[in-house]
Amino acid sequence: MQPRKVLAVDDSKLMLKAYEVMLRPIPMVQASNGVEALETLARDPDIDLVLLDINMPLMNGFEVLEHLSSHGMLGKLTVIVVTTEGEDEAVRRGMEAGAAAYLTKPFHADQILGVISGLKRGGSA
Amino acid sequence: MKDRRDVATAPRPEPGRGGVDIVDQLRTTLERAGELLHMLETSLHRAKQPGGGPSGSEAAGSPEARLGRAEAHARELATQLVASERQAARLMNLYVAAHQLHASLKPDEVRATVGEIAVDLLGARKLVVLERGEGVLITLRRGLPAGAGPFGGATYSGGVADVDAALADGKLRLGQGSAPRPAAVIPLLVDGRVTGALVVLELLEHKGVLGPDDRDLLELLSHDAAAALLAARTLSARSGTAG
Repeated sequence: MQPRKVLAVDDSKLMLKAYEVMLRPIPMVQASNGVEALETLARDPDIDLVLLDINMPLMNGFEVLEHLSSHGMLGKLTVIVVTTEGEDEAVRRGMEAGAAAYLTKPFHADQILGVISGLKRGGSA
Repeated sequence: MKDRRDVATAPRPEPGRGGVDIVDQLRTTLERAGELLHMLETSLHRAKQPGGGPSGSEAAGSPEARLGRAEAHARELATQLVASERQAARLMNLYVAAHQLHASLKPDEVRATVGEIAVDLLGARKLVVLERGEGVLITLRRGLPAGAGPFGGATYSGGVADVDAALADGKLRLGQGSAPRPAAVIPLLVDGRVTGALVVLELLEHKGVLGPDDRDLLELLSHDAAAALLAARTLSARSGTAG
């Protein structure tokens, strides 16, 4: 897919900077926790791709996914979970909750760009 | 000891220029990737043209032979392009790490960045940052609780062989990460002086081990993180702020 606008959600300032550098020139907005992410999604209809961390304060990534799913928002949004959680159980939970892809940290730019380009808009690979 | 490697970290010629050098390298690599892509496209275009292909003596031979040469050329360029993209991706991580290390002059924020680099870019699961002050202070702890063990208190008083050795000689030590041996002990060096260490006690399971791709990041942590921490601590002490 070729995203219109990306929402990067991570409580790590380093990761937010990394997304900014790796995905340039795709338009991007950022959030540092799940609550901010949902607020941003509510006011910006151009966002069509979400890069979502799992371990965050206030509201974690799984909770964000469950909220998006229960409000019927995953049809028009593509969510990639990007996290240090690499256990099978975490991957299964993320994919079952509606993520289109699951990428474990650490990674390089070519890997995330490859995942994005292999996705269909609003769905899976 | 077969399962470990002790590696000396060479001092940088111009401390503090790390970020600028990385940007220069990144720009050069991206330009090279662009050139390779252009050559690849040109080569494929020529191969498709009935009258195209190499000129001069290379033009000799059957169309099949010329097509074979063009395809081999295209494969070689594609391989170089992949290598260039990988190099650019690696340099992006280094650039981001260097940028964030020098984005703040508050000691706690610099320490948090060191932790984020170790977790998000290196794949650390458990780590501590040690800084020399009055004794060896434990200034950051991630993934392990305060309390028990050599890294459970406010100070480190010795007892982990790799850490003691790195604090003494300033050499990087890589192990297997199975307790009690850390996965990596990265000395923090300023002008050849050991100011502390980043101790990666365990890596994320899916990370496995630190490899050659991690070497530049380890060196950046050793030098740039040390300089950033020292600058922040010095400024903090002068301005009388805590941290």
